[in-house]
Amino acid sequence: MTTCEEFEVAVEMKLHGALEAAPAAALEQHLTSCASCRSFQQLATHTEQTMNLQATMDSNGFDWEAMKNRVKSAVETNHRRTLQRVGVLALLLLPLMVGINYGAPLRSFFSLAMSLIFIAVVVVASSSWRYRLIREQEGNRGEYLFRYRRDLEQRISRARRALGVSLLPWGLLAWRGEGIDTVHGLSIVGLGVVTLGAALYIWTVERPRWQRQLDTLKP
Amino acid sequence: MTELSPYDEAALLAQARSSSATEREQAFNALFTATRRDVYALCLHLCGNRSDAEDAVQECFVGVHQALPRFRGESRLSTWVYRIALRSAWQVRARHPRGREDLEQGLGKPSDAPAPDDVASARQQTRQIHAAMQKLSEEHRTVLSLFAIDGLGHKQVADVLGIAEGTVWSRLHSARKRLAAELLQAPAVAC
Ligand SMILES: [Zn+2]
Repeated sequence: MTTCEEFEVAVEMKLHGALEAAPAAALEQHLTSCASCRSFQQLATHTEQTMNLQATMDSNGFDWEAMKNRVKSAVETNHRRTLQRVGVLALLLLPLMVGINYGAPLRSFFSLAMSLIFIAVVVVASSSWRYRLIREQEGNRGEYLFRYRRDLEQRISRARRALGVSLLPWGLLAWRGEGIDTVHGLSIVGLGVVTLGAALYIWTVERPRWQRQLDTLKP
Repeated sequence: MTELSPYDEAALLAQARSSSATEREQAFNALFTATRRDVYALCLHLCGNRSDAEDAVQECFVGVHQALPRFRGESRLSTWVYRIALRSAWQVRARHPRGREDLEQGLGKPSDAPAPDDVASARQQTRQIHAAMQKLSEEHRTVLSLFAIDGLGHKQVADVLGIAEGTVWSRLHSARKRLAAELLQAPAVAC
């Protein structure tokens, strides 16, 4: 150690019990002659002790039982919401599967895929509607930015998954050994082309745009 | 802090993965008791006020409760909890970017009873430090807050942050210098 900056790092290491005997002795020696490093040592010790003391004082008077109850009630609310969402999705899916295919069997892959696409469109539209509402509320910019950031992060990770999902129709086609000579095979190919095209578009055009937006919105 | 030994952690993890809901609940309760003080301290330093810190603590433990049965043990359990705490505190902060008055509200609140001089002075210093902390970058605030947790060594801090052990010291040093600069600029806070 030769510079004050190196000795200051050693001060931090000593404060946290990570400095070995030889450098500790060199540090002690330096501290006797360097006022600047001594003042850094005082500041480091003082700020850390104060932060520690404050947290201890605050948490001593904390009602931990009430906090545990808050956590458990939030967990229960989350469970309930998930169940509600699954219920709503199932309710939406059933009539759609019957309706889109004009009463064709429920196990039809095509009608299921169409229903999922429809629901995805509804979800995207409703979430942009929610953003608009939040953005229009005065003084809610923090909440809006927070949700928008989280949403962008989710979109980016979904774009990756969408690429994988877009290969599913082709896998299904290969697995069933079907060609475009049957109506069923043709509809799967159609679906495959649409999903692959959409996923590639999202990956190459939308994903970089979302990433740029996210970079500018980072706190 | 209520230190969790590797043996405690292993037993707790086995309990958390149990098929019995009662056992899972017991595992969560034990983890909550062992880490709550540190999680609170971390959230308090990162958020800068008590009400946001409480929200962050709640979010953190909700996340822990939901993800505990799926935790694969790739790090120490407490390290994993601190990472969730950091994320929760950042999210709460992002939701409530507030002014300085708000940041100081609820922090070392003076009680109705007159405080002795040393307590009052400690409060004033705490407020100054917290106000200065809020002006630092997220990276600097985080490293200072982690090191302020009693008993958390530099290896675990590096693990929580996902950086090399050597980098931890230089980051802590530059954060402390920044904090010192902010403290020098800060006007004295009245009691
Ligand atoms: Zn020096």
